[in-house]
This record gives sequence, C-alpha cells and structure tokens, in this order.
Amino acid sequence: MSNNKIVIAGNPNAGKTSVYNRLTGAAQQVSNYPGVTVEYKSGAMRYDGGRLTVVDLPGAYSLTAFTQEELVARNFIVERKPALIVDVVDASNLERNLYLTTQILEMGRPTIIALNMVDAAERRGYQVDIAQLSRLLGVPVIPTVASRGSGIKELRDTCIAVVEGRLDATPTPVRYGHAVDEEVGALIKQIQRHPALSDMGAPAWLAVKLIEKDSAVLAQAQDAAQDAMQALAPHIADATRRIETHFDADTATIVAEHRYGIAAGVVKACVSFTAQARRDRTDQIDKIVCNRLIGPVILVGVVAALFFWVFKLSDEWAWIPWIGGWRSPTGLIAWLFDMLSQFLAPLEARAPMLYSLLDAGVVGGVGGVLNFVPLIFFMFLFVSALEDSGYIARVAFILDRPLRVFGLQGKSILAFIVAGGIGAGGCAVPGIMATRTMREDKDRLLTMLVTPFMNCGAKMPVYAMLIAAFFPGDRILIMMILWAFSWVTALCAAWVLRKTIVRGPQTPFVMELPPYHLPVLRGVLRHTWERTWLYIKKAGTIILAINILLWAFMYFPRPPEGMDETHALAHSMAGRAGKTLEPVSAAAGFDWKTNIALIGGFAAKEVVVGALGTAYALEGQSEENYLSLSERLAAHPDWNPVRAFALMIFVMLYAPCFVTITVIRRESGSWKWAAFSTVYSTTLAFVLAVIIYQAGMFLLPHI
Amino acid sequence: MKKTLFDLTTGDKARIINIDSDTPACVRMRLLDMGITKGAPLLVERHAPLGDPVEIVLKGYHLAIRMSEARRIEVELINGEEELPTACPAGKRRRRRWRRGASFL
Repeated sequence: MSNNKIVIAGNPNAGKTSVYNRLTGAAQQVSNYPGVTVEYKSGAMRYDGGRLTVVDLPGAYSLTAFTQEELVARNFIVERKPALIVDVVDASNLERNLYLTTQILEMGRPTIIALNMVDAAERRGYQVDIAQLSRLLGVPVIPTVASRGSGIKELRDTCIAVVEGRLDATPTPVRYGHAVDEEVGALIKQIQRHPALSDMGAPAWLAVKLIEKDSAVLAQAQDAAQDAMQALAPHIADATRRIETHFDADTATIVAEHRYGIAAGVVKACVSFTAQARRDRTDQIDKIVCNRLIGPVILVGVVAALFFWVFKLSDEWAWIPWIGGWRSPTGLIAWLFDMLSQFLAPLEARAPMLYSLLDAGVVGGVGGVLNFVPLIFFMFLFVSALEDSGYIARVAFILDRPLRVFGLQGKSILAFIVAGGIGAGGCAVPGIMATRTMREDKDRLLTMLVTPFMNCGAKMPVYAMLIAAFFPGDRILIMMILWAFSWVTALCAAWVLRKTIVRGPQTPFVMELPPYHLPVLRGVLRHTWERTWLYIKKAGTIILAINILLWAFMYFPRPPEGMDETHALAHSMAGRAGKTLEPVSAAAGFDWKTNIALIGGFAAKEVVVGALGTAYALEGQSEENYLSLSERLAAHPDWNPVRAFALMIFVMLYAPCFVTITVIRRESGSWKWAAFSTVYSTTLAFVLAVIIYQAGMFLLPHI
Repeated sequence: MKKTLFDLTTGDKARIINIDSDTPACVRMRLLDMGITKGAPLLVERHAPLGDPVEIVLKGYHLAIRMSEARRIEVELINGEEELPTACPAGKRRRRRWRRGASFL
C-alpha cells in the first residue's frame, strides 16, 4: 500500500479530536506544518492487515483558507493526497458542518462522514436519515458518539474497507446549479489538458477555486504551471465575468451561498424534527453565565478559581506522600534536585570547576525547567477542560469589548491571570501557553508580548526584600501600586504595539458559542500530557544550553587565587559587563552590583535577590535570607526609597526570564519575536526606571 | 434607511439581506463561511455585558459577532412572521437596548 494516510477533518467543536483519540493508540507525534505555528497530530491505527497513519487536521469552518488552520488543513489534503478523509460532522449543527463537507467532497478524495454527537441531535429533537444522507453525498455515513466511543468500531471497519479498496467512498460531484456548473465543466476540460495543473488536486476543485479567485490557489497554480495559467487566464476571466453578471455578485459570494444552499437542501431532505426543539441546557446555562450582571461575577470567580487551584495543586499544597513527609509536585522536584546536588557535593573539593558547572549549570538548569512542569500540567488540565466545556468562548464573549480597546481580546485575560495578574504568584510560562486558545494570530502575539509584565511569583522575593528595606510601613500600598502599574503598563504597551508593530488588517471576530459539553477526562488528560511533554522535550534542550552559558558568564574568567566570592563575581564577565554598563544604568540609579544581579535575573528573576546578596557580600545568598540583605541595603548610603522603587519597576518590566523567552519563541514560531520581546521590554523598563529615578531624586529633597 | 444587525435588539428576528459591498474580502468570506448568507433568518439572542459583541442564533447554532462586523450586515425584521427553524422559542424576552449606554467605548 503506497498511501496509508487517513486525515480527520471537521469543524472546531465537532468532536474531531475525540474521534482521533478513539481511532489511534497512545503513541503519537505532534508536528508543525512548515512555516506556520499551526500543529497537527498524527498517530497509528493498527488492525489485522496492517497499520494506518491517522492525522488530526486543525479544525476549520471552511477551506477557503483565510486562517492558518484552514490553509494547513487544505494544503495537507491537496499535497499529501490522503487515502481517506474522515469528515467529522456535528449532527446537532448539521447545516453549518455540511458547508465544510461540500468543500471536502469537492476535493475528490475518498471520504467517510462520521456523523458525530447524534445523541445531542436527538436530544434537541432532530432525527437524521443516515441512508438518505449517504445516498445524497455519495459517501459512507457512520453515526457516532465519539465522547462515549459508540460507533467507533463501525467507523474503523469502514475506514479499513475503504483503504483496502473493498468499499468505494468516492463522493458524487458537487453541483452548484446550471449557471455555475456549466462554467466549471468547461474549465475542468481546460485544466485536464495541462498535466501540471491537474496534478495540483482534483480538477473540479481547482476549477471552482479558480473561479472563486482564491488567492492562495492562484499563487500556487502560477508557481506550478505558469504557461498553463497564462493559457487559462482568459477562460477564467470570461467564466468569472459571466457568472458575476448572471448573479450580480462576486464569484466567491456566489459559490459560498450555493454551498450553503446545498447544505440546506441536504438538511431538508435528511432531517426530520421529531419533537419541538426545547430550550436546552446550554441556553439555560448561558442565561446565567452570559447575563449582564451575574456573568462578569461568575467569570471573575472561575478565573480566580483557575488561578487558585493551578498554584495550589502544583506548588502550595503538599499532597504527595514522600520520604520525610508530604510534598507538593514542585516541592518534590526541588527535593529530587537537592538530592542530586548533595550527591554532587563531594566533587566540590576535587574538581571545583566541574562541580560548579554540574551544580549551577546543569542541575540548576534542568531543575529550573522541570520546576515549571507541575504548573504547566495543571494549567493545561484546567484550561483544556474549560475549553472543551465551551466556557472559554463565553469568556471571550463577555470580555471582548473592554479588552479590544487595547487591541487585545477576551481570551487574553486567561494569560494575564495565569501569569500573575491577580495577587501574588503566577508565572508567565503557563500564561503564554494559555494563549493557545486564541485563533487570531495578531491578538495572540500581542498577548504573548505583554503577558510577562504581570507580577509573577519570581518577582515577589525582589519586591519583598526591597519593601522590607525601604517601605516597611507601606507594604500593602506599595504592592497595590506595583499591581496596578503592571496592568496599566501591559494594557498601554498592548495599545501602542497594536498601533505600531503588530499592526495589520483587522481580524474579523466572528466566533461560535458552542453548546456546553462535559469535558471527557481521557481527552483532557491526553492533551495536557502532550503539551507538558512537548515543553519538557523542546524547551529543556534550549534552556539547558542557555543556563550553561549564563553560568559561564558569571564564572569566567576565574580570579587569582585567594579572592573571595564578591571579588570573584566582579572579576567575571558578568561583573565586567555590570561595570561597563554602570555609566548608563546610573541614570536609573543602578550601580554595577545591581547590574550583575539584573543580568543574573535573566535566568530567573528570583536570582536577583541572591545575586544582590552575593554582590553585597553576604553569607548565604538564598532568598530566605532577604531580611538580612534588606537591613544592609537600608543602611547603605547609596540606597534610598526612590532607587528601590525604580529597581522594582525595572525588575517587573525588563526582559522576561529566558524560560519565558524560549516559550515565546516556541509559541510565536520565531526567534524574531522572542528577541523583540526581550529588547522592547528591557528598553521600556529602563526608560520608566530612569523617569522614576530622576523625578524621584528631584522631588525627594522637597518632600 | 438601511437596517443592519447593529440596529437590532435582543429578541428580534430578522432575515439577512446583504453584506455591505465595501466589506474587505477576508471579512466578507469569514461571515459567509459562518453562514451569514442572503435570506438566512436569525434571532438576536443577547448582547455581551458592554453591549458588544452580539450573540445571534443562525442555522441552528450560536454565533458571536462584533458590532463593527454587525454594522456590515444588512437585515430586515421578520418579527412574528415566521418560526425560525431549529432556533429556541423566543418566549417572553425583555427587549432592551444595552448598546446605547456603552457606545462611548
């Protein structure tokens, strides 16, 4: 068998992924389509006679390809020519789902329709005539309830029968009515004369696309067969003009409306209403959840609970029984790396450099990566459960208006909250990953770029140390100011970026509000684990490398014998860089010691406290000892509240830690945006710190 | 004066007449893909707390559209004339105009 690929296509929310999960085993692969961030999953379906590769294409409402998901889905079918397409159709939302089906059938590949959620359709009072549907579309139709696994065996068997050639699943040609069909037919004949064109996909599909003036297909056809396209151009123009005069509208609209006409016709012929459609559960829930007054309150509650439980389960609550008492997942990982570190300790005397590399560079680096794993796991667990349930769409609905003022959208709020938008704690790494629920690329990128401004847990030790030193009486007031400052900066930065760098054509926000579903635990766990594993694998390698680099930066060159820790740091590349930067950073009130700490803060912001401690020559540099450092700084003649406040603002806003940067790179698909994020936030942080410091120093004597 | 989806209030039923001709191609296509086609009946289900976006029931499913897009969709009222296929019964809906209050945003 030369071609053993099955692709699963369908609308978002049609249960595509459930069908995919049911058809394939546990082993699978997540791939990136070349050049875009859209991913698709593939897994194996084994049976007696062999093994099929099943590919889960991104959900799409259409194959007109205005979004990346649609383009990926379409190109995959056109280029890889799968042996079979399984079109997952939501029976309870048949008409709109069939719109995509007409486009899939047109591609001429063997197709099976998995008529999913037939139970929901029956609850809503529809009965679908399966045999009639199959006869009209010319392909097998299998009723399924993928979330419960019913109908999956039949679907498998039918897939195998089609792939083995025992069953014909070639769709009947899609008919658009006389006026269009005639032009399409003539164009098909033209296309068939040019082998370079007929290789591009089914001639009927290509003909319709050319008539629709689909820009992506036109460009591809120009590339593939320039001569043929030159010969064809007048024919296409004539056909288009004739259709447009006939209907008095542009061809893309005419074709789309005809497709919906076909869908409506099929629904009329196949669906009977057995009962009066009653107000279903979704409507009842939405009445409360989307209510003008109660809705926002529920939203705040859900988001706060999400935030609370993610951090509670991963970090704060010691619920795993372990040697020497209960531990939290993060605590457990910290314990394991402590053990590893202790295991390495004997090396210190014998090979200090190797020890330092292994301990600070490798163990610290891997530990740093794995520390985030519980957070990411629980964040994805809750966010994918919320998304599967349909609630995320309501979040976007309720918050779209207020956030759009800043160029963001409703779903941005999830990233902000997880990254520490409310109260203490939070982390930008899972926050940036939470932007995955956004389908609009520009909005998503913008959210990623401003999410690191939120006050994540790692910034807290820095704030705590400086507040204890300089604002001991105004702890709560200063925290409130910092909290408000981070939100105002994030929103204003989003607004400015939207007007400048992330500009572009406005993405139409037209969003389905799917019916509520109970999330399927199996699917949610699987999705969560995939994401977590991807993080461990991909980020792990890069983060480890960068951590070793940072270590080297603070370790080399070694000082002459007998120098203490402080001078060794001053002697290192980081120390030299800190001194070199001093004339510039002095504008914000930072001396070279602070600079070293801030450079170290690239690794993780809590390092700032430790590095300041080392630089100011303290015993025991861990953040638990911040009080002693506070006292020292409070007494230091160079330090004052203005300088401390400027430093807090700088730490809040400057370059995200490199784990975050790596994640931005992964999620945005390019180092360009990761680098941009680093540069613009550091610049912004510095400018604001200088303004605060200079203004503060000017005003200080007058107060 | 042309009536658009923007002008409707909660509980209104309407039929789509047209998508504004100066709509950018990508927006128009997106709307068409989601089922905003000539002659399709719709029901205005609710507005978001700040009056925007609007949620409509169309072809048996729920769709949220921003007011900026809703303005481009020309409609005619069909209140009371015909039952929407598959849409939930309108029942006793209170008709309000949220939008007015929030239009400064």
